[in-house]
Amino acid sequence: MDNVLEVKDLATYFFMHDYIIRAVDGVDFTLGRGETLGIVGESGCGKSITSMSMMRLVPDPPGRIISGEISLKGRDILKISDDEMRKVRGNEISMIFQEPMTSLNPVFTIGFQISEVLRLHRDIGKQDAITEAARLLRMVGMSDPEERVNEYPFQLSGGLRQRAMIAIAMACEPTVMIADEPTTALDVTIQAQILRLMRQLKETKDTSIAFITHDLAVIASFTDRVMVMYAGVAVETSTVHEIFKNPLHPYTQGLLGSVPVLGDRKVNADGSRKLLNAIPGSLPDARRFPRGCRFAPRCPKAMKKCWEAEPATVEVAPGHQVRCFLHHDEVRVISKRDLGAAGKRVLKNQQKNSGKKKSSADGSKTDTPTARN
Amino acid sequence: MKALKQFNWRLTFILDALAIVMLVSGGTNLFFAVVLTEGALWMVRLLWLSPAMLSYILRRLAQMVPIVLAVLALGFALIQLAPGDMFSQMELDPAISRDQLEMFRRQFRLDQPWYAQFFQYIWNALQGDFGFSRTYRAPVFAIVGQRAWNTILLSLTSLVFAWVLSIPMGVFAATNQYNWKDQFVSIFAFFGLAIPNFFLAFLLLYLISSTGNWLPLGGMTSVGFRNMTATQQFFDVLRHMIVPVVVIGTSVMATLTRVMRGEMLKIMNEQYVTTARAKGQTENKVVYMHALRNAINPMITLLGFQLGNVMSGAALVEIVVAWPGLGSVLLEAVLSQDLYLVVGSLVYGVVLLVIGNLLADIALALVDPRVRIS
Repeated sequence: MDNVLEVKDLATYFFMHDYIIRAVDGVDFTLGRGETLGIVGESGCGKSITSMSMMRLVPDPPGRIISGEISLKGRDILKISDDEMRKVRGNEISMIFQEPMTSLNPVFTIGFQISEVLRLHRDIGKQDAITEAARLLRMVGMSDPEERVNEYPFQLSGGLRQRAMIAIAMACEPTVMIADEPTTALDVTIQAQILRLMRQLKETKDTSIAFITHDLAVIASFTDRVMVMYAGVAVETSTVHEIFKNPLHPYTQGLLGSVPVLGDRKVNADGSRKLLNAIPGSLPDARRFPRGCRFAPRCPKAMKKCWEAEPATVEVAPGHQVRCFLHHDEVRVISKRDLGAAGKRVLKNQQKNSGKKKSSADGSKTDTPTARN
Repeated sequence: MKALKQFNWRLTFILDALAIVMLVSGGTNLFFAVVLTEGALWMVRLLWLSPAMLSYILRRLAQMVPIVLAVLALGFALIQLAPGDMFSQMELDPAISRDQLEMFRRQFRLDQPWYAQFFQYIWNALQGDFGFSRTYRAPVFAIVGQRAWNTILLSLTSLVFAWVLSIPMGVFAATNQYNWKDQFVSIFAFFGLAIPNFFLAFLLLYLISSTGNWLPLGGMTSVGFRNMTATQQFFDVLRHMIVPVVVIGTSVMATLTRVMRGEMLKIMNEQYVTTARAKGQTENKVVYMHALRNAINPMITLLGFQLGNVMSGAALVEIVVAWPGLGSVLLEAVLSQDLYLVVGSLVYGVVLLVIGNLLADIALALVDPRVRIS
């Protein structure tokens, strides 16, 4: 399978007044033609920022992609101009969002909003674009598409709106479609319909999909490979079968363990109530990650080494990468990152503040942005 | 059907052009005829867009009747609460006998209770008689009519001035949030909000008079207005309008700019703005098409209130720059207790307020499909 998208060492930081949020901090993955990659992780782990970075839509300021390479069919889209990037958006990479209720503009008709993307990227007239929009609506399974093109988003239900969004995303037959939790806001029956539609489209158009979700059931049924993200990095990447049968990273194990299983005994052998296996604690503060492995504070298997150095991502079995010292000994070598003028500004504000309150500067001193990278 | 709709649009554009020609060449009656035809065309168009709107408009117009009646009753009752009446001053005049005063009072129905005046007034008004002003010695309708036109002209021009400037300024401030450009616009807006209108008017007049009178200092027309050609007359009035329009417009603009900025900031964070960007749309179109179309709604709602506000706010400025509008008339009328003139001005104000709100509602329906269809 040839890769249409290769992401290498992607890092997106948010430069706030006197601190830096390392939302995405070195993510690597590939996406083959017609393949579906699931990206899972808890809220705030950097899934959505990864997808926004792929579209180059991270709000700047305060966000900025500070390093990495995103090559789409061999072309690094982080290096092209804004104008060229505009030709990529909606055309070669498109996106579906979580909230179908708010992702369509309320004052324009569905037909206009679909034809808009067609007219941006195809040499097509106004009337033809509307006809084409109706065809697309039929393709995503809407009845009476000729009538629907004249309707406004508020006249459609959530499921229909998401179908319209998919029609927009599929309009130019993109190479890659990013779906950022497209089914989270929908009820379960609609969710199944939307997933079936997406699979069908993917198979007929040979589109690659990056599917972001925190729903493991959706991952299991819909994706080919899975990337598990934690605190801005990918901790484990493998085929969906491997991930569910043989999870290697303690975080993945915890994630899978926290799913309730139907028919499971609700009472332990000693008669006490059985609780769902939750991962204790919460995500580390993205302003100040721990020195070693980012999962160490919550990890049941943390060793001394985990607190001292950050593990590298190593392929331990064919197609199975993991970032954990339990499975290898390689330490992550972090490439030097140029934080630019924004980084200098933050550092200056930081020093100004720490000068003001010297007593509380003990912990933060070790972790200034430049000291780490 | 489609061709008919297109014809309707084209006709409106032609009529727009015609209206401007009429205004410039001074054919007032023709101008009104053109405006009325255009209004009718808009109604037809609205009917196409939404049949429900027409019944709504008719309902709103019907609602106007009780409001106007209530204001009238209040007007008559309040004037009677004040001590004396419009003839009290004459009582000191030895040349006027008691009997004569009694006769005057009977003539103006001042000897009757307020509700009797009220009902008599309505009966007369239905026959086209809106009473007689003692101070101006002319029918109220004639006085208010001419003055009202002057005030409307001034207020509408100020509103247009304020809108045309505040929308780009608000968008500009929002898209440059928190940097110096935004701060600059904000300071400008706060200045406009803080400075009293009449003071700004004095300030401008002082500036103009001390730099060589390059603009007229007051009034609406120059000496020799009657002998000018229509075009000259148009530009003469325009020159006289500059100071009051800038003064009234500045305060309106200040509010509108702040509203526009806040609304724009809110909308720019909406998901559909990101969707538009994800389609590959240019930033200009994202801001001016996708975001602005949504941010404009609260501005239109504000327009309805502002029409009334601007009219009353114009009163002070009108007095300062000696604009022959309703402001000075209303002030004089109240001071001399000129009953029918006060009531006439009140009715005019209320009718304008209601119509202003109605127009704003219609405009909102035209812009926002959610209002129009549901």
